[in-house]
Amino acid sequence: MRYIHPKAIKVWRIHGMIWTFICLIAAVALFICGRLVYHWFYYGGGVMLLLAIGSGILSIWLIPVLRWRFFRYRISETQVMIREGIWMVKQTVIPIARIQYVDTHQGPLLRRYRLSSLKVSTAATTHHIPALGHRQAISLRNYLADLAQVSDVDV
Amino acid sequence: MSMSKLRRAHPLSIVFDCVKDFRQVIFPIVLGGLFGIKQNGSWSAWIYPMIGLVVGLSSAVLRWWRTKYQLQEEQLYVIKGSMIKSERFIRYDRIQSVHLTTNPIASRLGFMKVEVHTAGGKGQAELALSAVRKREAHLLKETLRQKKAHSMRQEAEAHNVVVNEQEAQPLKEMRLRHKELVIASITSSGLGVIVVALLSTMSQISELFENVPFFKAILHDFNQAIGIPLLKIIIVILSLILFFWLISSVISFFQVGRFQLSIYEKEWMIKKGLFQQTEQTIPHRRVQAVRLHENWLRQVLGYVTVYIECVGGQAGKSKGEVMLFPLVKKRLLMRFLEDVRSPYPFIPLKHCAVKRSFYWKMVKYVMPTCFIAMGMTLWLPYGSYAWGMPLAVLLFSWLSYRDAGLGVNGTYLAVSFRRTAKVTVLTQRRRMQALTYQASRLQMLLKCATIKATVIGSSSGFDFKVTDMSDWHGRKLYAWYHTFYARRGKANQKRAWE
Repeated sequence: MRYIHPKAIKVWRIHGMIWTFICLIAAVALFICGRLVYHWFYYGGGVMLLLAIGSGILSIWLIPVLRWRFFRYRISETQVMIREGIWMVKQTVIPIARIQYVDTHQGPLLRRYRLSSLKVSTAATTHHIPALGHRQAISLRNYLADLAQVSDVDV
Repeated sequence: MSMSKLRRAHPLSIVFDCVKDFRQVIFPIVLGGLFGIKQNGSWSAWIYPMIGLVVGLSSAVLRWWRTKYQLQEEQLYVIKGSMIKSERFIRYDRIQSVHLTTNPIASRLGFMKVEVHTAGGKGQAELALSAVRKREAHLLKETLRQKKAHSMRQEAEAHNVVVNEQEAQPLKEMRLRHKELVIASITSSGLGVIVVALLSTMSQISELFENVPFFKAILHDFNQAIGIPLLKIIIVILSLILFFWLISSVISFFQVGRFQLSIYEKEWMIKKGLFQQTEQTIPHRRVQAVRLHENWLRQVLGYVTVYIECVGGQAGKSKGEVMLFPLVKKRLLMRFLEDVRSPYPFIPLKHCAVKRSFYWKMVKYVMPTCFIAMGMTLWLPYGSYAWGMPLAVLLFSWLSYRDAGLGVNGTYLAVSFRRTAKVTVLTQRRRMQALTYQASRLQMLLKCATIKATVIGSSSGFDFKVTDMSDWHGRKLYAWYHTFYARRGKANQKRAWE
């Protein structure tokens, strides 16, 4: 089993920062509303602030590391295996004979760090490998697409 | 066969289309118009509905005029689109199904609706003809079937595979007997019979409430709290349930009435519907899983409903589930599946959940509801009746513990579990698109796991999940799936090396 690219932690941290920032702005807005409009808004602001602090600790500091630590994948000649989950540990087997499409995706954040995510779809399910080095993702995609083409439909 | 000419549906399809389109909107339009007259006292309010009517009518005419089809040598040629013209060539071997439907009026006039589906159509028909003469419709269906078989045969010959010729005569036909039809419709929703039983014993119940001190006390409490006699409320609720149950029974009576399953060597034909009869042909190879469904009422009576999950669109349905037979005696199930030539045999299931998982369910579900009930008893007047809730949850968790089952035979798999009804899924390894072994940290501690697998249903996957099965069974099932592919990989590698 292999780990995904360690830069994934950075990307997830930035995601967490963005969310925390949004929560903070909302909290500030609610406090201002509480001052100007109606004091009930203070409670909302307080909740928002707690949420921001909580999500800050969890989504910036703790979860990215753990998530990276617990995400593993293996791509062999016949199957893709993905193991993920911090509390709920899931191990999924996708036979390559069942794969129909393989896509790579790259958002602005992932592009900034030269990463790509891989999306593997069967006729009924979709699975993600969130952050791989861009080149590696592309070569994996080509590899899987080639194998998926040659593999027989009926087993 | 030489190339036939471009054909259209019968012009009557304009009328049918219009009726179908307007059936939903005609009522609000008329109401709106009448309301408008009342308010303005003029006919001007009718203008917009009239415009709508004209637009609808002309679009139906256009649709009829521009939808044309032609049976070509290797493909079906379809031109359609009232505004944007689209031409499409559909290879005969890509056609998944041809549906013929009819309703009483059209049937009286001698017309049928024809829909041609392909696998990629996402439930939308590639070709829909709203009115075709019955004889022509059957002919079209038969022609398409033959052409498809022909092109598949050619394909197979190219690959040196022998394909058996399809027989025109069914091997066997199965119908629903009258008694079974009645049972099927009565038990279609789980609440039914118990309500009838309750109502029939109503007089005894009222006696109970009047005479037995415990129930009398309850009645008294309730009268004081709400001010409406409890008995009346119970009667109202029960009769409401009865009403809904009656409706659902009648609906399913109409849906399942005149049910007929014809079994061919390689496909099934299902006809059903008391008035609006629908007809579906399902090749066995499209079937991904057989699902046996028992709601608790049928479970008590020993009956099972058999569904199949299959690829490709069904008429007017986004889900890939088709009812194969509405009611089968459970002890005759094995023979039934053999008789209908089910691609997946019944495998005896072994109970695979462990006691500790049941205890864990008690912690997870029953304990919180116990706390809630306790709170309600403490803070609410008459809150002690809330203790029924943990009891119900306890019963449900026990049932779902009891119904977790697993059976493996070669490449075939059978699993059973409980959602609200007991569900048993029969399928094969190659039909399962992916398999997940999952366990929360707590489940790991308890040495149990959840296995989730997905097969293809028409628009999205149909996934089935056995929760809290024993770790040992889970691992075994996981290995059954994954080592097979791993071994294949090794074999391939060897072949590549040699």
